[in-house]
Amino acid sequence: MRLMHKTLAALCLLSLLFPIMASAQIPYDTFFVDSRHGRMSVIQPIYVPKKIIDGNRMDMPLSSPSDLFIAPDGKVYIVDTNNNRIVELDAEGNFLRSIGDAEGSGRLNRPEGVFVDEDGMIYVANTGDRTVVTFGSDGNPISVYGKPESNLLYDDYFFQPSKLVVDRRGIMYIVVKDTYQGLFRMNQAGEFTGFFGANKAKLTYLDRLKRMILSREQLEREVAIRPNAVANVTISDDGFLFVTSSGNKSDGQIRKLNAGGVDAFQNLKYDENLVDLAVDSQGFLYTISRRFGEVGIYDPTGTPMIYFGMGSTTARQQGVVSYPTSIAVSGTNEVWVVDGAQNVVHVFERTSFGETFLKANELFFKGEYEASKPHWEEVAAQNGMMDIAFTGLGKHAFYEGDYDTALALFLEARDPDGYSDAFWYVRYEWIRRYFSWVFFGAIFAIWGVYLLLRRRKFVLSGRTWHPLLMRTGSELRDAIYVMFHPYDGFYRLKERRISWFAVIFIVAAAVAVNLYSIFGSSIIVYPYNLAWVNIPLSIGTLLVPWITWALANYLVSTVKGGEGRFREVVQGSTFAMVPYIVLMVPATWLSNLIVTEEWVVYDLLTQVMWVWIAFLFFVMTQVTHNFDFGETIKNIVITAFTIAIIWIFLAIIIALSINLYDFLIQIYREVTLVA
Amino acid sequence: MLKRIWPASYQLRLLYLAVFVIVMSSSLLWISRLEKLPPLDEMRIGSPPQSSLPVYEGEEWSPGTVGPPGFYEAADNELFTLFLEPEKSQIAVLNKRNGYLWRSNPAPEDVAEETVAGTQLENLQSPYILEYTSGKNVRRIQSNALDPKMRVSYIGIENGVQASYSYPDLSLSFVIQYVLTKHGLEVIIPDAGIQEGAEHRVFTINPLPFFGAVSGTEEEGYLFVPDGPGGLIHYDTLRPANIRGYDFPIYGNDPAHLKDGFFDPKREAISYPVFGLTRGDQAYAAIVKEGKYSANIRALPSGIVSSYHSLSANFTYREEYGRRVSSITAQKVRTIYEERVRADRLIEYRLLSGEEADYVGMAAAYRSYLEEEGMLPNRLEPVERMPLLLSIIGGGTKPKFGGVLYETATTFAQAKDLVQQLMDGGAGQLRIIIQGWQNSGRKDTDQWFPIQSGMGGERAAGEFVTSMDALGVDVYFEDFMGWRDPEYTDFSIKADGIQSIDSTVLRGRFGMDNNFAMLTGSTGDFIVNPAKAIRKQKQLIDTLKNIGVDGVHYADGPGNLLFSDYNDAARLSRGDTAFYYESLLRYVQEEMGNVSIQRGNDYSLRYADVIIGFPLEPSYDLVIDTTVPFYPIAVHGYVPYTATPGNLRVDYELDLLKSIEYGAVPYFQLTYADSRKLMDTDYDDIYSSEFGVWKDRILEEFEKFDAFRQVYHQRIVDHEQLSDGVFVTTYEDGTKVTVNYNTKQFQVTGGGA
Repeated sequence: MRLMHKTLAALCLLSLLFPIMASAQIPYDTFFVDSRHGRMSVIQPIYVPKKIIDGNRMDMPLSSPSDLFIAPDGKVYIVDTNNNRIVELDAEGNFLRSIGDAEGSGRLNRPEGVFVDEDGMIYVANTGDRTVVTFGSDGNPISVYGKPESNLLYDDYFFQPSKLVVDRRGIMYIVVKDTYQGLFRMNQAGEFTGFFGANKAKLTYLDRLKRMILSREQLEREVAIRPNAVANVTISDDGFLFVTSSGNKSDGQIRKLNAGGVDAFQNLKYDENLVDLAVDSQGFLYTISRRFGEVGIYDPTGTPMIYFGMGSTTARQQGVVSYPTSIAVSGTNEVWVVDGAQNVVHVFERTSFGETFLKANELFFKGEYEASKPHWEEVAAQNGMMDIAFTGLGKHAFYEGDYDTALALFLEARDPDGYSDAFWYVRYEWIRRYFSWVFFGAIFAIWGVYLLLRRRKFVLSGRTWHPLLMRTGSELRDAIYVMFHPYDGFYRLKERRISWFAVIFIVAAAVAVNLYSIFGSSIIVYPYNLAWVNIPLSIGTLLVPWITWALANYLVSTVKGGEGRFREVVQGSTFAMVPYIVLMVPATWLSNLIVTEEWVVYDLLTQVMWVWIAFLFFVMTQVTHNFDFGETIKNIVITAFTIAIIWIFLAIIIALSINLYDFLIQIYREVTLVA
Repeated sequence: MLKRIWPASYQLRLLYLAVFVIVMSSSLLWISRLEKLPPLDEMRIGSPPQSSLPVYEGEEWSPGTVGPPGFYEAADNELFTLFLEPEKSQIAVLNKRNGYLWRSNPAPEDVAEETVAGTQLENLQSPYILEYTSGKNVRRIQSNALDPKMRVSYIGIENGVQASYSYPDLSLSFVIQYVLTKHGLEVIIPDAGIQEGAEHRVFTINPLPFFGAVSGTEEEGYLFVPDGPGGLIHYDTLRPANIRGYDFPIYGNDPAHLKDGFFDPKREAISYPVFGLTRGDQAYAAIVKEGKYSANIRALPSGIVSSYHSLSANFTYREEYGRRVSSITAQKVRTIYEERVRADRLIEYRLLSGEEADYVGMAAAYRSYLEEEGMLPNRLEPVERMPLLLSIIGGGTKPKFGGVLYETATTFAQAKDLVQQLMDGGAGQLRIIIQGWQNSGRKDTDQWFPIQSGMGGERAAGEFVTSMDALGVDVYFEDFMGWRDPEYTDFSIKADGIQSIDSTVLRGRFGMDNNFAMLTGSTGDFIVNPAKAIRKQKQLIDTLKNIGVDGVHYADGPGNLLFSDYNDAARLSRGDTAFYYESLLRYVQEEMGNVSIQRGNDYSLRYADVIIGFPLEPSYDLVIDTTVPFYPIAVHGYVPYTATPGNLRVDYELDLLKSIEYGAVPYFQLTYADSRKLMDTDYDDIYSSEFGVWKDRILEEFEKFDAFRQVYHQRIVDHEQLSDGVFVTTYEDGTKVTVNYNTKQFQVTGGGA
């Protein structure tokens, strides 16, 4: 089941339906994202504002800071762009020194990016001078890298480094401003070693059409379709490069690239306003976005879990950013966010619930289900609304071998994958235990049915039945007959008057089977909360096409010279639905016995059912109206068109009626108010 | 028989038909105009009072005794002397007990050292700042007492002086009166004194913007603003260069003015109209007595408009808003509302010194004001056990199967069991609020009856209440008096909803850009005209009284929501709404004996028996350095109040300590079943509420609070910070509650038994 990625705003709407009455404790809400079901709910805070680092603690206040890096030893490096320097702070935020403001080769000019490697060497993307400058851990400049000479780069390639990271081999991956070729790779000697990880441009259908149709000259005059430019890059402890891009010209706003440049997140679509990304020691991703100024926490597979934080142009509270430019995570899991407009750094710390929740997720993703159990239990105790806690506990129970508990937990969490896995084992156990009973029981059942069938005629004919019942019984028998002998069956239906009771009975049975298929199916088929099923809608989806089909078919066929009368069409359409009743019941029942891997069986059964139904409708049209093969096809196409027309017509009528009704109500209101 | 009545002739048939139509339509009209709601008189509620402060006529004031250089004596009483400087109309008040002189503006020698220039320098020397608009232009023009176009004249009045400012060119004039009281100085701007022409209109008047202002760090002290429980802005804090001043409306923005956007960060609205400052061992507490419903409290630390830390009340006379051009586009035109706010303005500056010159003294001054005016209930009686407040959620309606269904989380029988278990566990005097009992199962509703059968219905409710009476437990039922959901209300949006300033009915709206105001209700909600909503309340109160319920808890409305109605047929100002709400609370208390409110804005304190969600949290504002329990000090001992429910705290231990430090009573919001039952209901945000999970912690917390139950009825006389993370609250009888946030412990020492 593919995870859904809806926009944050649309999901906001869901949570907005029920506003929070509690007084404002911190200035922003924290949301938990249930990607599987597309829901967002408000939860207690995971991160709370701890402190603000403002210019008062430094010799000179920050001015438009644009990047932040936290070294493994806890020291914090802030790129103070308009002050042309790098500010170094300790883990508490106390000012240590400035780097890059001394005269000489190390003089910086509007730097925008910084990276510090394990040896303490400081790499600065000196954007104003279009160079990369390196400093030793003592703060003295070591080398200056300008644009490399390379015949792979065209002459007017504008090398303006903005952000950079350095991998363990010392290769620099530089984000060059506003280029589409991806990251610029440069080795320690300052040589260009290729581009890396460009975004893929997105083609719309219109673009593809243009490519097919337009000539070369015309295409050249079209605006070039470009992907998003890379905005930022981060390197994780295990060497993966996380590239952040903003914009909507391509997907893959977050890409996790390995050494070969392959995106582990497979170019998935993310938030278009992402600015920066940070990775903690466990592989969880922390993003900062300019959409609402929110920080997003994603699990190591790139699925959003948590959103918190708020932005405002008139920001004046702790935890509210104005123009975020960078994010970093410290070794103690503090989140540091740089605000380029307020010239401050917001520091957030985890709450105890946040610690419990993220620890549980950490252990879960590492596969340490046993260790994660107490944490998940704590999460479930502190917040009963989070399904993921039950998934976690379910996984643990599963690996403990307690499959029944696991099954119940996965059901509670509405997790079809986990449910399927646990179910396999439960079923296996059950078969092992009861196999002999089932085997002999089946033999008895078959023998009993055989006896019953043999005695059927004897039993049935020996009694006098109510004539209505006899009639309905024979009609239903014919319905089954039609299913297996369509041509013959429909031919026999001609000129017959099937009782309305039988017709209604079949329709009601179809509705009942439809409801049964929704409510009786396994969670693997239907993983959503059953309370959200819109019963009238689902019955409508079944009945409305059927009714319009019957109507349209009759109308078209009479015009086209068919022989069938309306009653015959209705009868035939009803009988054509019988495979739905006959096959859906065992299919639904079967779905409760299979696991995800055996899905194909259920799928096949339902596909066969729909094909059968379609075939029966075809045959019904052909036989009832006495068309030949070609005519039938033509008339079915016209019928489909007619159905569309009917629906459009109905939609217009309903809309106009609503308007008329509204108009009358308004007049009534005006009259009573004014009078 | 019918064939006989129906005539055969064509004309007669027509006649019968016509008569029938006329009768039907007129009876329909008559029925629709029938008043279905009882009149307000039945509830002993009158109309909002319209008082008007007088403008005096009299002889021109002539300077008498000389005071400080440039100033002449204008009035004198036992404790204070008022001086007036006739040229710029500055004033000064001498505190005769200690000889300290409070100036309305810095002395001329200090002004000479100022680095600001132009209008800002002029404002610094003026006892008022006026903003006015000209014609259709939305831009505001500032003026002050140094404006050459202004003419001022003075009249001596009893205990004070009246200054009349007029701008002949603008045909604009207003009057400010300064009157000495036994606590200090009153500044009055009577509405009758404001005259305007057709062209120029008053927008805001900011009286005494620099009263007692402190320059830089010349003295120790702070500005006090009513942020949450109370906030201090210290003079000596180093601030970043680009700070903003604190300028927020009292009681928050009026929803009818369409100012709040959805994507604004959350902050605490101001719940009480007091501000003040301290300088050395002198201080004042300024209480906005009149005109507080359309006023901002503005605190400007040094470096924003001058080198002075100053604060004052800024009175709004006109609103600017966006007028929709058409109902199709979202385009708006900025307009100034034509009519002026008709309100008298009165601020009393209570001058304090010595021991009283800190926020505790200010709170005591405010408390004595509340007592004098009868805005506080009677003192609480001492208790044998600390009260424990519980909200029990019965359940809620959630969307199900294409329709809606009520999901039960607690039945009345289970609620009884819950209470019994707690009492057996040692809990003392319980007070219960029942939530989710309404028939519709929603919050913003007035479809109350019959009581939700999912909880047990009316019969079970009656049994529950009777058994609670036997145990001595008060039971409140919750109601919402503010926003209403149109699908779950008997009121009609167009006929009964209040109108916002752009003359459309006020609806909760959602829009992606902040200009499309999203208001604190959920989408589509509207606010019912308070007079009509109160009339419908009679049905609720009568029915609940019959069942035996002890009181009503207003979770939204009186106590936290204040709005005005721009409906031309029935105009209401925020003051009128406050009056109606106060009258409703009085009625409920008279009829049922108990009423409780949410939040507790100052006008709603009088009749409240309990306040839920009292403002104890700050707004995390960057400009405010310390949070202090000003409002709790003013109110403790008169009304019990709670913080957010214990099971929904952000940090359990730290928030518990905060509740203890600020004198709150323990409060939990519970369900009998798992809180998962509340998913997709209106109580969706109650993420952890299962009684079984919380029982032990509730009893544990109750024991902690019970340890100092002797302070429940007492006033707080002192509060201070002993060291980093250690605070001590002192009560009337000397009991000290010391709270240590570092060790997460608290101690109760001393005092009487």
